[in-house]
Amino acid sequence: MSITTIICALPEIRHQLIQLIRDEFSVSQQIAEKVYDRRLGQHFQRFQPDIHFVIEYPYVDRVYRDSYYSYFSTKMGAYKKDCIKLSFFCGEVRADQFRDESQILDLRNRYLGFMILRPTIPNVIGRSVISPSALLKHDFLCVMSKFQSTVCSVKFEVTGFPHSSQDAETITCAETSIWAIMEYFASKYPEYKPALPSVIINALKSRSNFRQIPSEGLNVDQMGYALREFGFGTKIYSKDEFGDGFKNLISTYVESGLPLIATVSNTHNGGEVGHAVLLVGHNNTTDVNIDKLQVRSEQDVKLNALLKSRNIQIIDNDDIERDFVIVDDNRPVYQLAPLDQPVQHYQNPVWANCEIVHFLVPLYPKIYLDASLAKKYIKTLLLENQFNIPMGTEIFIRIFLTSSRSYKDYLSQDRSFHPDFRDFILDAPMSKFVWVGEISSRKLIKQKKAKGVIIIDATEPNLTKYDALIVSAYEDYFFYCDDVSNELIKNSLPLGEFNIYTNNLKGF
Amino acid sequence: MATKINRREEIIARLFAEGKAEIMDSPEAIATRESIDEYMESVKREYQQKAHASQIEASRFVVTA
Repeated sequence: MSITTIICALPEIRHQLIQLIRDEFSVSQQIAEKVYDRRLGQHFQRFQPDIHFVIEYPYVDRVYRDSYYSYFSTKMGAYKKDCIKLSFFCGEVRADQFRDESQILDLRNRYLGFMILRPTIPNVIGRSVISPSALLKHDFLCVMSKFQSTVCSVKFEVTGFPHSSQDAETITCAETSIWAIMEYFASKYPEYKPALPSVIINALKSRSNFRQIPSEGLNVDQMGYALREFGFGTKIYSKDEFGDGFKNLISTYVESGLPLIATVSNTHNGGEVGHAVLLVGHNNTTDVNIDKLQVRSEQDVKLNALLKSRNIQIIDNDDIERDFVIVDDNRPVYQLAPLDQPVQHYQNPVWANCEIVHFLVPLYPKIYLDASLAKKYIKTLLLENQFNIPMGTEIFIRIFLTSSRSYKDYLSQDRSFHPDFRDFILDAPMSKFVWVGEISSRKLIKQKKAKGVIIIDATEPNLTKYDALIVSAYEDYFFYCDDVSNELIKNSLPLGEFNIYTNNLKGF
Repeated sequence: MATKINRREEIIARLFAEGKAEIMDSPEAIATRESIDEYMESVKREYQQKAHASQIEASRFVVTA
């Protein structure tokens, strides 16, 4: 047995893959054609026309091998254990380039990811990481990480978000979502490890009273438990409980650069769907988005009263009506859809009227202050008399979670801040994660600038006595809490306008 | 020779020296703080109820598709 490589362009991929699926996965020509036309073709239709494919087989994939040894090999049917690997490059590729040291850098610059095809007919799409640059439509922002892979024995690196289809036996959408979350975090932070299908099943042993494979899905409670077992301080939000603020909270966490698991259902509308997808980003913010943004009345009675008494209007970045980037194991990666219609790409009427009903947030375990509390606290600090915001002012606010390390790194290199205020923040002791509220205006935010900022300690759920306040600043004043006396100190310092923070999603 | 830098302390000292910093300990400032504290306590209680109810509701929801 030896490894065979095929190099082809986009127009040739259908023919090549149908032949390969037929021969390597031992299925009829008709089934191979169906698999391509119903499962694979839709992925490649979204590719840039100059994408070239490098196909290698047989390929040993760690995720499929795990499913194979823990489940498929225990069945009587003859399941194959090898996969096919597709690698994507922008522009033409020749076999000799992989053996020419002077051309490898060029290949690495043009590498756009990989996709594994497993012999789990018809659900053949296994582990994949595709750079958004491979797609015709890629003007969106999303959380991504770097993944290493090899093509023709040469190491490559791709930046993207992991994706896989469910095999419907060892992994359904629930397990696939957990797997993708763990792949992402493990590639980014050393404290997390990837979770293979059998590891997810094992982690849930104590929470399952019944047989676990073939998988019949998981309840949301089990998904939260698995994430907690894998090192997260998981939070769950239900649409029924958080009502009108539900979508706003999703946006806050997405803006914070966290991939979320959203459960999608139409059972409350008479349907039977219970599905899980990942929310990993959103499209770029346009001037039109900002112009269309409307002032929403606060659900909270006290905040609403404060807004009215001060005659201040807050427009919230998280109320922008836009498409979010969805990673759905039934669809090609990076789908764009509004939160109200997360499965709008499905043609099947069974999926009609689906809505996001819950979302899970894989938080760092020492983030004790959640988005809803942090947002209300930041808005309250802004509206109380401290800043003397003139009556009739309209404020644009953008609130997100970030690591203090990333925030300080951005600040240390950004010269748009008042130098004293910048040094004041840089020398302030901070928790590993902080909530940041940037205060701007409809006009200013179009230039990606702000004129105020409130930074809150994300490890402090006690929101009294200014315990959680690190610094709050707007126009000509900034406030902080004195370490010794615990008194609030007001300082006069004209802040001017400064650049907003865009490191979470690498854009705005 | 070693250099010791604490820009934050220098800025705080300078702002106080220039009369640009003031301690917010007036009765109005204390009343504002108490009002924020009271409000945030109620917000936290409401949030805890919602968070708990979300957990209960989620435990009944099965993801299969």
